Amino acid sequence: MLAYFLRRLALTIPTFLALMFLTFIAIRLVPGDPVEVRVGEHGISPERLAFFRHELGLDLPVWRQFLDYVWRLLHGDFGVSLATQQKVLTEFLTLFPATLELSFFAMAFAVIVGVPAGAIAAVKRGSVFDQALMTVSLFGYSMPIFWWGLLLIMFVSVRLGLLPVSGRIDLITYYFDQPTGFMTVDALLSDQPGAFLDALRHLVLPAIVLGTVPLGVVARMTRSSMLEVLGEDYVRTARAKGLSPGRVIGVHALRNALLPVVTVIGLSVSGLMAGAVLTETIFSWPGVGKWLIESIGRRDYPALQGGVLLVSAVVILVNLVVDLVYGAVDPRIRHGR
Amino acid sequence: MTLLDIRNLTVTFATRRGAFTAVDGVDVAVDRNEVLAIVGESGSGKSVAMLAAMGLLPKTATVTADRMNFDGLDLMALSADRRRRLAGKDMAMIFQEPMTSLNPCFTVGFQIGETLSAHLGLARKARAARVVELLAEVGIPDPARRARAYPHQLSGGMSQRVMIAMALACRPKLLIADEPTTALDVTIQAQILDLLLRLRRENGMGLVLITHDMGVVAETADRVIVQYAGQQVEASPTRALFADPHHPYTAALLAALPERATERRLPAIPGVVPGQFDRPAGCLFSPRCAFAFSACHRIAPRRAGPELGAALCHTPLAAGVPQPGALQEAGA
Ligand SMILES: Nc1ncnc2c1ncn2[C@@H]1O[C@H](COP(=O)(O)OP(=O)(O)O)[C@@H](O)[C@H]1O
Ligand SMILES: [Mg+2]
Repeated sequence: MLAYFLRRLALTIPTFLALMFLTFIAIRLVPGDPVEVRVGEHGISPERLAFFRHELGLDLPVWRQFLDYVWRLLHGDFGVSLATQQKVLTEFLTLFPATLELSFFAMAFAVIVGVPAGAIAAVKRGSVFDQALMTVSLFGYSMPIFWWGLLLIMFVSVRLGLLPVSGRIDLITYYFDQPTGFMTVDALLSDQPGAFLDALRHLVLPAIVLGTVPLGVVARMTRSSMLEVLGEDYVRTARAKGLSPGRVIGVHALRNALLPVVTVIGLSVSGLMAGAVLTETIFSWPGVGKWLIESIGRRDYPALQGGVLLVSAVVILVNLVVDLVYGAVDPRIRHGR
Repeated sequence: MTLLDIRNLTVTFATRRGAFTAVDGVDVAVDRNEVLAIVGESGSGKSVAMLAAMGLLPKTATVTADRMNFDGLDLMALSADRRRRLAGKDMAMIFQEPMTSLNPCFTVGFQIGETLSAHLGLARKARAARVVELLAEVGIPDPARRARAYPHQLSGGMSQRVMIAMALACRPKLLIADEPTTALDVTIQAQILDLLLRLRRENGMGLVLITHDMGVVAETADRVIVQYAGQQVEASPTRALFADPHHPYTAALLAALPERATERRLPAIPGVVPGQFDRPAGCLFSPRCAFAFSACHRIAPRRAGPELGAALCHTPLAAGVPQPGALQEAGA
């Protein structure tokens, strides 16, 4: 088991190298460098421009910059953000809980709605519910996030005024320490009445928007996996034992049908991170995604380079964890068979 | 009162390519302390008939019968819920593939215990103790440890023992064993069969044994039903059936029984059982029948009297000789 994980870990090294290289190149291909962008349209004297560039090491040949960057990375140094003068790693760790919280609720939404919906569709195969769910889920996972987010904001927040438009909490009413960085948890810890509920209310729309694609995937996967499992001999055995239909389906069939769903959830984490970038931007959610977008705008080379690497590391880590979870869910894997 | 009493059972599946009658006019009667064997090649509707009795067929199946009684209850009149409460409690069934019949995600003990809590409402402690007892009863060594095993940790023979323990959990009145040894090694087959017969004797159950093995039939069964392409072609007491088979299909099965047998599986008769799309006109067995004459290929046979094994044949055999039936006399 340990050897397996070390091997998996080793296999990610080329991915990291490629990512390092690509983000490094890509951000430099965007016209304008950090200095120019900061200066804006006013312009400054060429001497001062050269001075700032020299300060940031941007006057060195690109290959030197890359080697410097790699060298520092090897020492665990992700560099310092040009915009905030903070360490990139610190910045990432401050913002990441917000992204994690949003992703968690988005995934929870996808699983809590998608698994039962998919299971029911499978049991009632060919029914109106089944057909409706399949159509809706197809829309779900081909939904452009930006459009979907704006649509929900317009309708639910602006027109109906039901939910807040942006942010993680109403900062005017509530102010408290954030020891964990997870707004829902910190709100509970703060003892401020209503804070937790407000944090949840802020989560609803972004979680739905970010969770829509995984919802489609999870619902469809659960359905097809369930259809397969329902024909298995052990489901017949469960019915032959005289168990209630709920128990046959909810315990015997579902437990087996969830195995591939767990994998799909793991695989959709990378998509979730991509979606988070857009969702956070739409809802002004102060997480890693919004930070990355802003870093592109500011040509904040270190922030962007470090941020992308760290996000990738998270995705890879999650996939490893999913492997572990899979082992826990499927005894055959747990026992190495 | 007969324990399981089914008359004229018919099961029709709605398939994508039309209706398919998998069981067509089968009578089943089995009592406590009795072993009924159902024999016939693959695809002759043995499993479907018994799944119908258990109420385990999918919704695509339409089941009709003139009578379908179990232990004095009219199964067809029972609600789905009442019916479900019989399954696993008073009538239990075990299947051909023990390895795939157990749920890979749960321990053996959990799966047996489930039956105990569903029907007997046993609490946790009592359940665990009973599970170990049951495992011991079906001859599983180190039952306390095995109760915590997952199905993939068991061999086929052990899995079938677990299935049997599960079926016996509530001391059923009837056990249906659908080819319980077909998937097992030859050496294990005899053990499992002995176990089934011992448990039947000890519990006074009725046992329906679906099998391919005419040798097993001869050794174990009180009565035999022979099925062909969904139809019941003969039903006789075992001794009578072996002494004087009345349907040419039964005769062919017995004739092909290798005396110096190494392989005791159902012997090969040239040809195959007709399926949904290759039903012959007339008698379904006629294309493979050594005694068939012209009318057999055109006209469906009627059932003979019980003295001729209720054979579904125009010219049932007696002492190996076709008896001229009504058709022949009419010069058909
Ligand atoms: N769920 C089903 N839908 C359609 N046809 C079925 C179904 N189950 C069984 N059959 C058909 O019914 C026939 C009898 O099957 P079965 O009872 O399993 O045969 P046996 O047990 O005698 O080998 C077969 O032709 C099989 O294909
Ligand atoms: Mg069968």
